[in-house]
Amino acid sequence: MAKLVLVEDDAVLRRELKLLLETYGYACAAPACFTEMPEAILRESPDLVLLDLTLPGKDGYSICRELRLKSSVPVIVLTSRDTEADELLSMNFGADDFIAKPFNRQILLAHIAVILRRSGLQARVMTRRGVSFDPERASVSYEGREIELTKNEGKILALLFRSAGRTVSREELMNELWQSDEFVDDNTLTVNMNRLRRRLEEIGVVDFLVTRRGKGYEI
Amino acid sequence: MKLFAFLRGKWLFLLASLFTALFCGLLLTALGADLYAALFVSDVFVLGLLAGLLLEYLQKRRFYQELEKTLDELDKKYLLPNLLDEPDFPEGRLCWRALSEAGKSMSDEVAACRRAQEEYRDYVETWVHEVKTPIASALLLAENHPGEVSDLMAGELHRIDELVEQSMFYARSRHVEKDYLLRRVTLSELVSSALRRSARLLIESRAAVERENLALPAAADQKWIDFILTQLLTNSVKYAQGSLRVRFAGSEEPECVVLTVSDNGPGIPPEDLPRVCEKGFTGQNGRSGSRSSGMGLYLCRELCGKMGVGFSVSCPPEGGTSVQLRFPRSSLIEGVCYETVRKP
Repeated sequence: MAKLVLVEDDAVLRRELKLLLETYGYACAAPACFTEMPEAILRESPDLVLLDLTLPGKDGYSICRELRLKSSVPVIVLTSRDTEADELLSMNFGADDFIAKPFNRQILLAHIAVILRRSGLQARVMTRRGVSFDPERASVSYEGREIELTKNEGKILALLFRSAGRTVSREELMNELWQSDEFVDDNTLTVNMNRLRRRLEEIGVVDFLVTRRGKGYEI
Repeated sequence: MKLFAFLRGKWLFLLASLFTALFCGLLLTALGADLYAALFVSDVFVLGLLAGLLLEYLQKRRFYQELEKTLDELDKKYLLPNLLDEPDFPEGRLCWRALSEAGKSMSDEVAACRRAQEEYRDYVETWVHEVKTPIASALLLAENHPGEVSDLMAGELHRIDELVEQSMFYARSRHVEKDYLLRRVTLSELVSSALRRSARLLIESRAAVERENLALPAAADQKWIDFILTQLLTNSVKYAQGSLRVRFAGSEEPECVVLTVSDNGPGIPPEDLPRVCEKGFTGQNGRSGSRSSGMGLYLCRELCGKMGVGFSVSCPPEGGTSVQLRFPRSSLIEGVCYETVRKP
């Protein structure tokens, strides 16, 4: 299980983010005291750091820079300052990614997953009920048979796998596609879903993708 | 200053002097002096007087002519005292000092106002950044605990976020030169980024998006264009009738690259069209039903103006509203632009 450290001074946001991350299967430490940064972060030996920029005392930029001197742990900066200049500045201080508040939680989760996968800390392949899915290659395998999916089908399945056990609404699925620049409409999504189901059936995966009428889809 | 005008200004003095000369002449005659001697004295008196006045006129003329000429040519009139040499006659010096003092005091006043405005702007900027955290918390709260109320709440929170964003861009639109960063991007990048941001809004309103010929390069600040396009998309959604279609199309003109954003909405009544970009203008569409603050298009035009991007709204004959953003292709901007590090 990947371990994240969340550095955020707003108590409610800290609590809710921790809840979100834990729900999605990450271990999450969220210190409430910021005097000993970045040592306190390093003590947790995290796989990824979520760092707010405006903190009491030392600001996020200095923490990020000092962290970089001692460790190469990936850092995602969470901030409300989102001009082009701020973004550049964060990158110069060694941040790996930049997410503006308020953030869409699926986007945040997707960014975390990409970075963890890239640093080899999260298994690339996700498995549910015997069906394995590799989001990088967009390939599904089941009982020794494997198929390649299209980009859109891969994106849809990635979100469903990330939210395994929960119902995902059509809006969320469309949003996921939109966030990767596939600006599909409702009909296209229906076509994509039907095709995805057929593709899964080709390798013997049936009744895997369940429709919850009026609510969405679930695996 | 003409000689005549100068003399007219001196008429009391002239009258008094002539009267004195006449009086002296009469007095001398009365005292038994020779008539010619009396005339001579009076003449000398008058001639001396005129010579003095002429000298004074020449001296002042230089200063006043300089004053009039400078005032005429000057673009920023308040700089006048700084450009004039201090004159060498007492009244002139007094005037010059008064002008300098007034100018100085005015520039102090202006500096104070500018400082106050800058402070206010900084405050708005800080406030906006601070309020984003509670908005993020509230949004996450709503999304972590889904339900009918939470979903509605999330929608409202998105609207709050957008309005907050608007206030920040308003503060920035006042004086902005330091706030933006031009980069070379393609129209496609600009459009995709805005669509990602407005995804929720557009998906909920079941909008169909068309994109055409967007591989053209432009110089722009992505965040600013994001905001502008989001305003346009919000308008399209707000006034949509039936199923909404939004179309983004790129085209080229000799001097610029054009991004046209059009929708199939109700359009804008012709009598409102010239005024839609005015601050606070709500028009017929704004008044009938949907909320309109009259700020959206105004801000778009202002921000585009600052970036040197042309902004125009029109209603094509086939219906709907069409907005054109014209990104200039000048060599100056080509030179200023530079590639930044792309995100990993």
